[in-house]
Amino acid sequence: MRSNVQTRVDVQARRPRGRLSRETMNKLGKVLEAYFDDVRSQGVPDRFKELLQQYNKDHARQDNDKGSS
Amino acid sequence: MTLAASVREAMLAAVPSLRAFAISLSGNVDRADDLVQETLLRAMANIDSFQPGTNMSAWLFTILRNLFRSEYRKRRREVEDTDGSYAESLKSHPEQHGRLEFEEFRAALAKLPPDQREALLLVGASGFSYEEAAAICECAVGTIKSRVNRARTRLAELLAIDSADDFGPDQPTRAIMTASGPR
Repeated sequence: MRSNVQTRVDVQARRPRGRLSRETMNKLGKVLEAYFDDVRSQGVPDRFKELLQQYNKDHARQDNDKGSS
Repeated sequence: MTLAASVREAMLAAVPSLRAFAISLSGNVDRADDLVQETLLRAMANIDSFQPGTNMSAWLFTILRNLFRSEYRKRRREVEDTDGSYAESLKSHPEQHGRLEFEEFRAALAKLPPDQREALLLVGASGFSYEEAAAICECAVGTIKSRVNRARTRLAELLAIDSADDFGPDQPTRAIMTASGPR
């Protein structure tokens, strides 16, 4: 996915009035994505899976209590 | 009421991106995970107000963003951040994000005004449209666009990626841009 990324920015490609060139925008976007992917690649920590399981266990019990009364 | 399997799956599917957003906002993995936990608890407690078929991820991001904002405001009230110590904490714990290669990038991100940082993270990294980001931040689409533009311009300046001359082989952030394939 990240192969063939050009390493050189064509300075001439910069737009006037401080606007960024498409190439700079692309590079910035890639860094941002890499930064987020670094965390995303850790997946879902167990504590969050357990949190949702526990919620369902607690509420299944409540639902049962209501149903049997 | 228990959560439907589809709702639970949608929530868990959003967790990796929520964590990335929370870590980028708070600069601290432990605080970020507490934020995500609090977000999920709020979401489950208010699941009735979630409209099935709408974007679960956007809903969770909205909750997390509001939690972070109120915590940030509270913190500012409790500890006057006159010496910029809170701002400093956002960028002084490289070990808490894990990878050192992102240190330069994180430091640059921490220098952005919060509104701009948040907008850039939502649009540039979390995959939301300008419209979705505007809904999450409760502001106009045009406001989000200009925040994202300013954030990008500032970040490019801070990382000096707008200049060909600055590409050096030992610059980690730049290395990411030239990396090929997973490392």
